[in-house]
Amino acid sequence: MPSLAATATQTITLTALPTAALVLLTLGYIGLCWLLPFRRCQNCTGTGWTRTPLLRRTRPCRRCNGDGVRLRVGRRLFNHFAHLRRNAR
Amino acid sequence: MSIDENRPRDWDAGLAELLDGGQPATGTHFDVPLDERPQRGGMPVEQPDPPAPQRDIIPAVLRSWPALRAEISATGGRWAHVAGFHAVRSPWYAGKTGFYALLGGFKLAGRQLRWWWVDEARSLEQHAADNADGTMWLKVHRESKSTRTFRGLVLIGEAAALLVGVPLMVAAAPWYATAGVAILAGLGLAQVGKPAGGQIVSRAQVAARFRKLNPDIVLRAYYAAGLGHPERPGQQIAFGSTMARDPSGTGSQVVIDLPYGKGLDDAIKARDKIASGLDVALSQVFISRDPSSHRRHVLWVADRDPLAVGAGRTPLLRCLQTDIWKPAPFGLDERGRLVELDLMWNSLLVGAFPRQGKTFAARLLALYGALDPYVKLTVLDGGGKPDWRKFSLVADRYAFGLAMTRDGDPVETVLEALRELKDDVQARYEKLSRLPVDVCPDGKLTRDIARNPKYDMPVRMVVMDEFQEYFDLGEASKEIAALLVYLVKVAPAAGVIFIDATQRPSGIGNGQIATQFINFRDNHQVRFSLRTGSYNMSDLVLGAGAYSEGYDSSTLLPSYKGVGILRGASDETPTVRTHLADADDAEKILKAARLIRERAGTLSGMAAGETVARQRRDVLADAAAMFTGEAGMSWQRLAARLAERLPEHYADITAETISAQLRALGLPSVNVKEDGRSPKGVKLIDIGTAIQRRDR
Repeated sequence: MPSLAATATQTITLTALPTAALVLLTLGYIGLCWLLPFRRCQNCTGTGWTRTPLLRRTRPCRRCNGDGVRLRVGRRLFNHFAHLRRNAR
Repeated sequence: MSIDENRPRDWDAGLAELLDGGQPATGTHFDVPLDERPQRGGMPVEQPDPPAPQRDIIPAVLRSWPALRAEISATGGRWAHVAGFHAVRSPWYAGKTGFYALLGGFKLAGRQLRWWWVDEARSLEQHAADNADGTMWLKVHRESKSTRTFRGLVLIGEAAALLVGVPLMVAAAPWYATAGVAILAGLGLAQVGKPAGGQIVSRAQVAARFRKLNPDIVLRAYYAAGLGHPERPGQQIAFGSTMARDPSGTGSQVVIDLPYGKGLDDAIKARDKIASGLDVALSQVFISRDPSSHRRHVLWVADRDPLAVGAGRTPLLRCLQTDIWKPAPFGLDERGRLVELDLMWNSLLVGAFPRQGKTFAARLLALYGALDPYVKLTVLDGGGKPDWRKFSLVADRYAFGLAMTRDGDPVETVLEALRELKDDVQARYEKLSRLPVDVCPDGKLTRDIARNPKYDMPVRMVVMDEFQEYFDLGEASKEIAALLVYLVKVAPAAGVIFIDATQRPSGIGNGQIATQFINFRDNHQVRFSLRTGSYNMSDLVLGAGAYSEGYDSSTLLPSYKGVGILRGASDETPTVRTHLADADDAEKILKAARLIRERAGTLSGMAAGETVARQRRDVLADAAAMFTGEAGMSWQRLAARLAERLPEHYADITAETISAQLRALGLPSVNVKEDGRSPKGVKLIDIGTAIQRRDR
């Protein structure tokens, strides 16, 4: 039994570990989308302001409308589906 | 002051004077000054103030030592019961409290965690995320973050206090303080942990629950019953009093003013609809007259069906002497008030389906009469039930059933009793009219005359059960019917009280007898109807018109025993729950009544043994005495010997009659050897056993 168990564990580990990691990652990302639905805006690095390329003048970030935070992709996807579902009625 | 009839009358002048109210002018025929002119549209008058019920200065409980003692013992008993109840259940309570305290600990922790994490901000954040509103989200997020920091500090402080305080308490404080704090904390946590509305301690006493009546419900009921209209002008229902618990504490009552034109009759007719609108049982709704106005009545709604609760044993069980001139306690009405029935000058008809307490009701009143030694009782039971047999202890005349007994033919006894009554009634009127005015002021029997043996006019009470049987006897009924009709009409005024019970208030006999039956029935003044089969039968017992007044004994439930409608005894027509006097009680009362009568020296008639000798003969002993060494004897020979040796009692006895009498006493008719033949006869040994059986 002990020898059999060792081999079995090994085969399971080989396929299951990446799967489990993937599942955990997905779940973690979903949780993140729920608890912290916004992330820092990559364009303005959270300041809400960008400089124009020509005159280097500051103006509100176009991506985040000056908020400095943007909705995560996952949450945006979820919102999209939620709207579809709501409008389907 | 004469009026000249020949003068032409001046009507206009007269009318003018009448309206002026002035002094009459001479020359007209209005010679008498008239009342002052009435004011148009009525006049306000002062409302009579009802005397407010005054409460005792010193409560009744504190007025006498026995009452105080009874109150103390009752209260103590109640407390002891509560204490015992909870003491037995205390381990269960402790277990429940422990469990709920544990649950409460978790609940409290969860609640504090939710408080820490500012749960209510989460929905705002989600809302901002749903709308992709970054500004809003940031604002809420920052706010809740700082709140969380502060609340976290508070919770850390609390945890530190607990971590330090609990071991310190256990180590340093005296054990009882620790235990007390633990119990208090446990109770507090259990309060948190128990489900909402749940009880750890169960109730020792079950509180009575009742429907609380409020004006809205009453109005809803009345409008639903069509007695008014909420919107139409002048059709509203008004309240003449505030809604109140009634003094006996068994229901709610209110005075209702119906719209003009609607009256008590309408309310009584709509009683079932009102009950439905109030959402209570029909038997809980009582509508009674208010003397001030026909459109006003009192609505009383009982908390529970008052007729389903018995009235208890009769107060006659005290076996004290009664007085027929005072009202007899009969039972309790729907409000729990004592109903008393004036028996003097009255005749009472009791009618109902069989097995509804008809005999018991009639017997209750007969027992009241029996306990007054100055009342001469006549008990005639057409049914022959065991219920009345014990009245042989006190009754002047009695007849049970219709079958021949060793006391003779009951029908004969009835006839003789009624003939004697008629003679007595006629003699009474003679005697009363010859009495001087100072003895007999009203030409009526008085208490003093009735109780004075000199006049020999005691109050008489005639009790007849199943009297319809006496109208169904063929030839004999003719005379009985005529006598009964005469007596029920004339005798009450001479001090003869009639109490008659029947289960068939109509359809007895035919021709003359049927008319006489109806005549007899309808001449009773007071009616008591227990449950009947239909409203017309109820009307026959209660008298015509009872149904249209709202009294219908067929609406009484079969489960009410001894409950009936009493009509004609007073202004009110109460539904009476009669007191109970069962066979044992009746026997006890009758034995006492006999003692009272013996002491008063008024035991008379058959109860005192003053009957024709033949009726009191002991047939068994007489028959046994006829044997001279034989083992058995034929009926013929027995009859012959009885006729020969006891001619004063058995002069015209035949083999058939003696056989019938003895067989009625349970003796078998067997073949006996006699002169070489074996005719039917009786054996001495059987007579011996019958005597033993009877004497045992």
